[in-house]
Amino acid sequence: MLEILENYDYEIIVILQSVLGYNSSLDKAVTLFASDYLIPVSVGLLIIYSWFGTEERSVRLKHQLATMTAVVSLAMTNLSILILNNFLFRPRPYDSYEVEVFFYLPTDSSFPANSVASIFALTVPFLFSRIPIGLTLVCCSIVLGIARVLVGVHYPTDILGAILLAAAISSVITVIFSNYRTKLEKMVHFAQRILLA
Amino acid sequence: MLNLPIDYYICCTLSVMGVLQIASNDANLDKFRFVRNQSLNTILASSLLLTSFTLFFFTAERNINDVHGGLDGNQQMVLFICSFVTGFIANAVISSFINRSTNDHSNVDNIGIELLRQRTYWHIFRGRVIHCLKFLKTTITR
Repeated sequence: MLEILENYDYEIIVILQSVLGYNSSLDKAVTLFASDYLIPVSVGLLIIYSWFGTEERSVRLKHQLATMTAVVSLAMTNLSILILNNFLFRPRPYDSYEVEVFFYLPTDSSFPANSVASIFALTVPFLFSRIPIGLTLVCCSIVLGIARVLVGVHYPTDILGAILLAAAISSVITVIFSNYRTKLEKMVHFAQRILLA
Repeated sequence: MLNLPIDYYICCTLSVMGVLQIASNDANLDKFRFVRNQSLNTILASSLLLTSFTLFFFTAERNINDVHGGLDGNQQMVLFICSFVTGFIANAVISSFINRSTNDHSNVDNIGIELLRQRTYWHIFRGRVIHCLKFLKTTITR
């Protein structure tokens, strides 16, 4: 069963990679989107914007509560991946198959895709409270995921697994935090007193 | 440029400053802006963002494994937080200097960052420090 799944994974990589290698600008663009910095930093900046950038006080408070939930979700997702990787190690596609690599060669486990999981963990709280930001984050996760498969460092199931894991953890954190809204509001009020919110 | 962690820190600081300027436009935080005119301020903020991204991605090779001098997730997070703090302080200092003569001394019912619609960061901060010192002085003399 796992072998069949891995074969499908490989075939998808081969199909996706067929677009690369013809146009150096496209190759560079894909590598840029797959990088460790472009999308993660852009997402960080979007989170900062959502914290400060609203005129209406009540809407801003909503964004700030979502941001706090998102940051905790991110931490919990990363912790879960750290624990999971102690028990599960999946070799990278280029270790098992003849896959062309357009990126540096990572040495950690292929499953789940850490960067995609981190960004998707930030998404869920915003999907509950601020859909445009949430959808932007979903797009960022998907673009990063596809780019990572295209450059040959992840299988498609690594991306899918990362999204499912992050969505599950993030949803649980969002539900738990919605029960502690008043405590979170107190934290925001403290931040207001020191002019940080 | 210099080396990856320093480049990352500098470019993130510039980006944070750009984003804070865009946010202060959208939240009407007049005394937190570098330029009073909203359109000009947006252009300035966008230039900061564009410059920082261009400087970072097009001046050196950035696809480096963390075991060969790249940044791992935790290092990135720590540096990003440091950049946020630096960018925020830089914004507060520069905007307070530029808008130093435009403070509105009327009573306001705003709280938190909304106070930056009428007063500069430095003005509010100084007011709070003076208030604390007076409180301490009266407490000690009693």
